Amino acid sequence: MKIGLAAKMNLLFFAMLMLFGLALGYGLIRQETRVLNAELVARANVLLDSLRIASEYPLLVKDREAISRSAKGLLAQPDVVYCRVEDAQRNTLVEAGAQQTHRVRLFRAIVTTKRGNALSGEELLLGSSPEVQETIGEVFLSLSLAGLDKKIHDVVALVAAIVAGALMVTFMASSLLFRRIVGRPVALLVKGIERLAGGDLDHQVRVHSTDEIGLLADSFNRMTKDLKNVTVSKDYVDDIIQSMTHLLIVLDSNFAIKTVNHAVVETLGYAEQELLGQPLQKVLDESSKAGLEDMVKRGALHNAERVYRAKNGKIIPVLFSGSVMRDRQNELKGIICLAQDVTDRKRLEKAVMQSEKMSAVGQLAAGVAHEINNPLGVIFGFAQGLIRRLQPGDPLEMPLKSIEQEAVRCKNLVQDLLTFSRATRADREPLELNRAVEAALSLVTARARMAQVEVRKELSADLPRILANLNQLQQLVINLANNAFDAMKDGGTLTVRTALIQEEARSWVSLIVADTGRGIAPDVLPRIFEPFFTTKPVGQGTGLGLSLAYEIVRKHSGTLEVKSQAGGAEFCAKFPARTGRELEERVRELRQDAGPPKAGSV
Amino acid sequence: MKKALSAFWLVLFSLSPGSAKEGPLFSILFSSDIEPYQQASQGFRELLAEHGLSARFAPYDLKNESPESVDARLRQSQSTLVVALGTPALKFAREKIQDVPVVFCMVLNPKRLQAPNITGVSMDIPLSVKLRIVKSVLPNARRAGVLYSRNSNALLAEMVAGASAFGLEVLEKEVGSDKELPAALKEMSWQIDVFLMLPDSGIYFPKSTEYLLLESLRNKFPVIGLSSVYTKAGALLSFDGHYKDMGRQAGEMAVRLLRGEQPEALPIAPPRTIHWSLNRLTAERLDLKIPEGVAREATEIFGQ
Repeated sequence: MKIGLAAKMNLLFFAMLMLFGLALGYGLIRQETRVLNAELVARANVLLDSLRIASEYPLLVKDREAISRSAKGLLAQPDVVYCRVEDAQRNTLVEAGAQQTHRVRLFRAIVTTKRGNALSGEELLLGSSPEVQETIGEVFLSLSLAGLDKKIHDVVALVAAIVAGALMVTFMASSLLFRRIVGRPVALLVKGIERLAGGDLDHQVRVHSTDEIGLLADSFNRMTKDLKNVTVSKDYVDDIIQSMTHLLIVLDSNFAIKTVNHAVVETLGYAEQELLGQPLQKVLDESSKAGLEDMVKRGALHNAERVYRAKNGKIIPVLFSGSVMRDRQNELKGIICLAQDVTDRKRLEKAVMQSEKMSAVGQLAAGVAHEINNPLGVIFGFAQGLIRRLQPGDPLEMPLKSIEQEAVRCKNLVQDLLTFSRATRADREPLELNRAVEAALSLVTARARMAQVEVRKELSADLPRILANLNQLQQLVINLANNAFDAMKDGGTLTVRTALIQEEARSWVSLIVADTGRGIAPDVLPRIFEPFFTTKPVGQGTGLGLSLAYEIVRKHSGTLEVKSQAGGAEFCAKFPARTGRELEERVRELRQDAGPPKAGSV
Repeated sequence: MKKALSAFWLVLFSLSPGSAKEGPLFSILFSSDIEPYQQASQGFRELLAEHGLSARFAPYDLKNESPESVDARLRQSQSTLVVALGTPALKFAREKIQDVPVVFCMVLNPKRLQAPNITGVSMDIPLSVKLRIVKSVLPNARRAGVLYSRNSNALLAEMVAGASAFGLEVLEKEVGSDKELPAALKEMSWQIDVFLMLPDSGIYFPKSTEYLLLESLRNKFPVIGLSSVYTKAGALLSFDGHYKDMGRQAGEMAVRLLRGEQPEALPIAPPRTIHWSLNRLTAERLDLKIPEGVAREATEIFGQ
């Protein structure tokens, strides 16, 4: 059982009080017993004296009757139980009462008398005779102690009751007092200290006393306040760490992970327990593992590009900063690793780069196309004119037809190049994606049949309309389909799918073109949208098909992404779904641009 | 007691031989140092002084000095006259001194100690004087009770002889020892009108006297005591000699002896001044009506 400070003090106080009470009670009883005994003795002496005096002369003259009268008178006194008078020769003259042996006290007194020793009568006259004391007998008196015993018993009972009562009252009062002046304030202090230990720096101990405990409470409150001013609580620090958007990993001196924050858990997909105690290499990509020791040597590392690898294998590019913690003896205490996830930034940078590359190529192509278009027209026109003039079997027929054929190819190439520059906002109108898809697929049906490719259409009905140029959309579908046919040399399935999807808090209309071909090699994948990049032999591909598709989608405020694996590639184009108001505004713009409608035109 | 003793020694010092002019030397034998002897000695010296005698006085205390020492000193002193105060002193003088005249005083019944060189003043108050006063106080008294022993036979005889002259019949009872006193008193108390104490130390001592006086009050008989001390204690009346006057009386005898008279020529004299004391409380208790004229004659009255 736990005994509190106040209870201990009270018990000690009570023990001392009890000792004092017992000593006092003992002293009182002893004193009272002594007084009662003294009273008894005094009374006995008075009685004995009276008997002695009354018996003096009767003893001299052996007057038994007179002595007996005195003895009986004495026996009538309380407590007197026995009385005896003896003469000088120890003969019992009178005996009264019963001689008891239990709880009685025997008193005795010698009876003497003054005996005039007058030698002459004149001494008798003058009163000058020398007086001598003569023993003439002895008186005995027994007093019962029953009365005394009862009185002592009463005194003991009274003293015991008073002492016990006083002790009880004092104990109750003192326990209340101790609890009030010691127990409660100390309990409040203990509670305050526990709360302080638990990190509650706002708790104040309320003890209203001016004694040492009150001073202690004041000091405690001051200390708590000071502590609050100078100390940041662990919770507070934890909150800060956990609320950081950057990924914080703290390593101990053995490079094992000691602390991770919520952003680490969230971003990398590991549970905290899976990381604690593990080396940093667990989350670092192979390409980033070098350089940790170097950082320890240098003391810090700022904004280095590193790559983390999530639990699911996802690559996360980060801006990595590290600093080394050292103790006062300059011993390595730990390493703080702070990383910023730059995945989105990287993607944006890549997109911007791609866009700028496209833009440059487009402008170049457009310029070149303009300059080439006119001489090409002259070459094509004269080639056709010459061919028309040829006689059958003319030896120039083959070279001229080759010129015409290659001129056509150049014309088509120039046409593609011009598409980069021609696609403007003004060319777009609200239309249904499915209609463009249907129209485009009808154009590739023949090639599909030749390539033994089955075309599967999965067109979602009731799609919202998009703002687009129909020709360009058809071009997009045809280019993606041709790319698929190229990938499926031995036949396969071409799936064209349209759908309404929700992404980044808005609606998109998606177009997916998937093949079951050989897929795209990973090293090629990042470059497939670059203009003039092709894996086909020279003369078979221009390297403009996919880049044109990319440019068409980009100019429609959409995105084009590719996913590839061994079983085929999948191109996904997304166009923003337009609301009714956006479409109306666009229609109004088109009408104003067109001016008043001309008769006969559609 | 201590005070009295020191006073006594002061007196002795003033009486020392060297303190007075050369003259007759008086050796004064004190039986003890009690006040009555001092008074008597004082009276003796005053009387001598009145007669113009520049005598020297040598005191001897027989109580506090051994008889041998006193005897030796007496023989060396060559006293002119020896004064014996009290019976022990007279007995000593009678035994040791034969060639110097001895004058005594304060001695009861001195006749038994007579010698040729001895004379003095007796302490015995004449029975007739006593009975006359008793009769005047108790005129109706007819029968007087007396207890006696062998020691007081002579006194009883004198009493029996003298009482009839005053119309009193003496009812006497001999008491063998003090233990017989209560029985004797009980027997006589209802028959007597007055009880007369005889100076008999065999019968009377403090406790028996107390008993006697208590019985007298219970049984209503007046007691005639031996001295004023008894009156004070409850006796109706008592007689006393005048101690200082006794000393003067003895002094007169000494002067006559110095003038050449012989001791034999000077008979033993009774005290010439008698004092008597009365206890009014006792009288009231005993329902006695004391005639006022008589009471006025008392030297000392207790219980006023």
